[in-house]
Amino acid sequence: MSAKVLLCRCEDVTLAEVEHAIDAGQRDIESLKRFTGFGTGWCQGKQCLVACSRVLEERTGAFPQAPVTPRPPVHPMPLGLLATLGDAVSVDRVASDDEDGER
Amino acid sequence: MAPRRIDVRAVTKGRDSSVLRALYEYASPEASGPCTIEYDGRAIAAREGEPIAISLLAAGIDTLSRSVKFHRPRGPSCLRANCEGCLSRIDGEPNRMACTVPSRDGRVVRAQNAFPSAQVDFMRITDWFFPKQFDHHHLMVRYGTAINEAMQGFARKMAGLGTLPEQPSSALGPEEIDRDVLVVGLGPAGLSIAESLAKAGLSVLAVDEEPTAGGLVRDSLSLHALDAKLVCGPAYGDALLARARAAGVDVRLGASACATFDDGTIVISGERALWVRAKARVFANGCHESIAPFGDNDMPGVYTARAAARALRYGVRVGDAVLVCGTDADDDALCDALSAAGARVERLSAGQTLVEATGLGSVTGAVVRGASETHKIKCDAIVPVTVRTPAFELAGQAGVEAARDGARRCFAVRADESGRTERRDVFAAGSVALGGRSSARELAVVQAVVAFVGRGGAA
Ligand code: FES
Repeated sequence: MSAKVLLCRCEDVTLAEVEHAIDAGQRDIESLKRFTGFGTGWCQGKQCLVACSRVLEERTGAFPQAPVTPRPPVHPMPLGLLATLGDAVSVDRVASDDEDGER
Repeated sequence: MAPRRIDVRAVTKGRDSSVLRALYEYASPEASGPCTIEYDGRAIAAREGEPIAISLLAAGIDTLSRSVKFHRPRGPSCLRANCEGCLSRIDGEPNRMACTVPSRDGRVVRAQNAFPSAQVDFMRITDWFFPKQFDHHHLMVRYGTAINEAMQGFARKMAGLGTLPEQPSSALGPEEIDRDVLVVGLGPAGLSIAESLAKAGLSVLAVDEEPTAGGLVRDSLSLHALDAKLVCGPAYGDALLARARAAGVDVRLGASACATFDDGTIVISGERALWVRAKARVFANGCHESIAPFGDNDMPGVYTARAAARALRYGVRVGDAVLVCGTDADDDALCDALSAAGARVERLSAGQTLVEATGLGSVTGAVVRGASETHKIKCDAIVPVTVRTPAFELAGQAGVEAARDGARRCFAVRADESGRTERRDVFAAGSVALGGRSSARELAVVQAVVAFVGRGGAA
């Protein structure tokens, strides 16, 4: 059996899958992420973002100008802990921050 | 896999090499006593306080979980909360990283998401069924609704992570903290900046997600210069920590800054969330290790260099025969330390590259390509070349766009030589910033932060 090269462990995204997506026209890092799902798992891209960006560079000649948009939390956190923040962090505040975080 | 606990007394007996002194920080019998944890119904002899993932490695268990789609076997690879390989159900709570939870008498650890166990999981068939990739775009829509629905239902059962906790959350109420400055990341850069800011009269909260200070230097097996003396990583980290504390910095270890907004930062500290309002935020949170691409690079038995070094500190070697692919000074020190710990060490020679890991469950060998031929190596652990990439995410959340670092082929926080960013209250220092670490920049960051807070902050 042929060995898989994993670029994103959390979501089981392989090098073959990333190359297939690039060949299918996903030639910028955001589209590549949306198409393959890399960076959407437990580690949120800590291990895979640069690995995928380098494949993109090898395939298209250009390393991405900017990374995908980082969103909270950096590490997964228990919802029970988030809930304790109650009044300190208003939900509105968090939601509106997220909106203008979109690029 | 054979047990891998090193007999520290035997290994260090009659030796006084500085590398050995740097080693085994937590491994001596004085450092911690024995305890017993339960893993999937088995009693495992462990040492109190060492990370559960390391206790299990020491007992010869390196496969702790299964991957989400293919159900490939996974194990701890980073030992520092950077991967997903150690996710387990611990004391009834799902999705705990076994590399961050200390062993304690009576702790109950279970594999999750595997049927019937992490070591033997029938769902591995998905891996063999899809030899290259799992193309859900086509798979889930192409084959008619009935099959599609059945597949989705099945996938939902077998994917996802863990099941709900047994007990309702026991989280304590939040702690609200107001300070002049929040420093995130307590490597050499963060620690020295925090100390200088406190000496300049500012109130400083400094946090690091690790239970110890020193960052990358703490895990390094090389010696480091401190006050014209050469010291090992832990001593270096502890000395800088003591100085910061003496200067009045409020230091919280094991405290992870998870989310940051204009009006505050959420820090998770054990059972409690902190809501930190600071006039200025300094991000000195270093680098991640990016995955190294080669065949079956996710197999249990593949470790980052930092993980291999960290396991040694607890008196555990990651393998009996270890292939180390990197060639920098830290890799050399790692090889020395592994040999001293009784492992057979293989290195790649110039021009050789690692093609793939081999083995059915965990690593039993590697395929290496030279200029003209390809050959097999027998080993039970692989340490690929380290690819360090700045942890720009937190600064990114604060609204500072990360920039391409063309030379290093990664992204870094865009900051000037004083650590200033496009957000007036956000500063970056150390290896997370474009241009990397320099003590000149650390001095300049301190001045810039003092000036900014002195002007009253925000406005
Ligand atoms: S997250 Fe625990 S070993 Fe990587």
